[in-house]
Amino acid sequence: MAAGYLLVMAALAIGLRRLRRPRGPAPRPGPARERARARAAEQAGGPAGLAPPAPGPLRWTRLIRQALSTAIAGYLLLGAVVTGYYYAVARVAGQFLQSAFTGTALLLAIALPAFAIASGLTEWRRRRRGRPPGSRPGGDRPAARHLPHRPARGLLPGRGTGDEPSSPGSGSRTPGRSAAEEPSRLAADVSSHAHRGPASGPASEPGRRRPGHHRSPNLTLSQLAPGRHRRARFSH
Amino acid sequence: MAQHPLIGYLAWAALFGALFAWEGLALARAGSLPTLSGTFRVIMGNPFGRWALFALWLWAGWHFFIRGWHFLLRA
Repeated sequence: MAAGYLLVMAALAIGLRRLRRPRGPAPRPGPARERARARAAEQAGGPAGLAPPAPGPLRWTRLIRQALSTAIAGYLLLGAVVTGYYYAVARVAGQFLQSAFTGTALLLAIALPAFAIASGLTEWRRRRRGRPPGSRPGGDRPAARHLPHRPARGLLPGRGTGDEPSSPGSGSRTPGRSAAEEPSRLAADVSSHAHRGPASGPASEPGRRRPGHHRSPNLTLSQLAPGRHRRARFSH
Repeated sequence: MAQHPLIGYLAWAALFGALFAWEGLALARAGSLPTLSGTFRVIMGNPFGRWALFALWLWAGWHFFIRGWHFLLRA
C-alpha cells in the first residue's frame, strides 16, 4: 500500500513539475477551452486552477484562509463519510470511529505546519533571489538583475523613434522591460530633460519629438506615471 | 496478515496499472487526453471538489500511516 501511495504521489509531483515548466512559443494542441484556461493561468502567473497570487500581505491572508478552510472542511467531510459508513454500512471493529477522528487530526497537525513552513521557506528563498512574488522559478520572465543594462530612452540615436508608447501614464509597458527597470528609466528621463533642456539631444530634433514627451523637470515620478509603480511592483 | 484470494490482488494491480497507463498515454499525447494532474486541477477549481480531494488525501494517509501502520521497510 505504501508503494502505491508513493507511486501516486510521484505521478502527481511529475504532473505538477510539468505544469510549472516554462513553455516555449510553439502552439499547444488540444481543446480550445483548455488552451484558453492555460493561457489565462499563464497570464495570472501560475498553473491553471490555482488562485492567482494577490499582492502583499493579502496574498498570505488568502493562502492561510484557503488552506485552513480546505483542511477543516475536508476533515469534517471525511468525518461525516466515515460516520455514515460506520452506522449505515459496516460496524468496523477496533475503535474505528475514534481512530478516524484522532488519526486524521494527527495527520492535519503534522501536515499543516509542514505546509506553512515549506511555503514560508519558498517565499523566503524567492525574496533572497529577488524574484517578484508569484513568479515561477525558472519561468519565462527573468529576474530584474539578469536583464542587461539599457540606457534611458532618447539618449541614444535610434531610440525614442515614436514606436514606443509615448505617454508614460498610459499603463502600457515596453515588452521585455522589467518592472524594476521602469522607475530608473523614468528618473533618467526626468534628469536628462532637466540637464539638457527640452531642445537638445537627438530626441528633440524636428520631427522626432514625441507628443507629450516634453515634461517639466519639476514633475515627480508619481506625477509622470500615476499608479505605475504600484502596478509595476505587483504586476504578474 | 489475512489471506485473500489472488484475484483480489490482481484486480487492484489491474486498476493501478490502468491508471498509470492512462496517465502515460495522456502525457504522451499532450492535449488530446486529460492527465491526472489536469483532472485534479479541474476538481480543485471547485471548493467542494477541493474539500473532497483533501478528505480523500486524509483518508489515504489515515489508512497508510495510522491504521495498521508498520515500518515501511519491515520484511
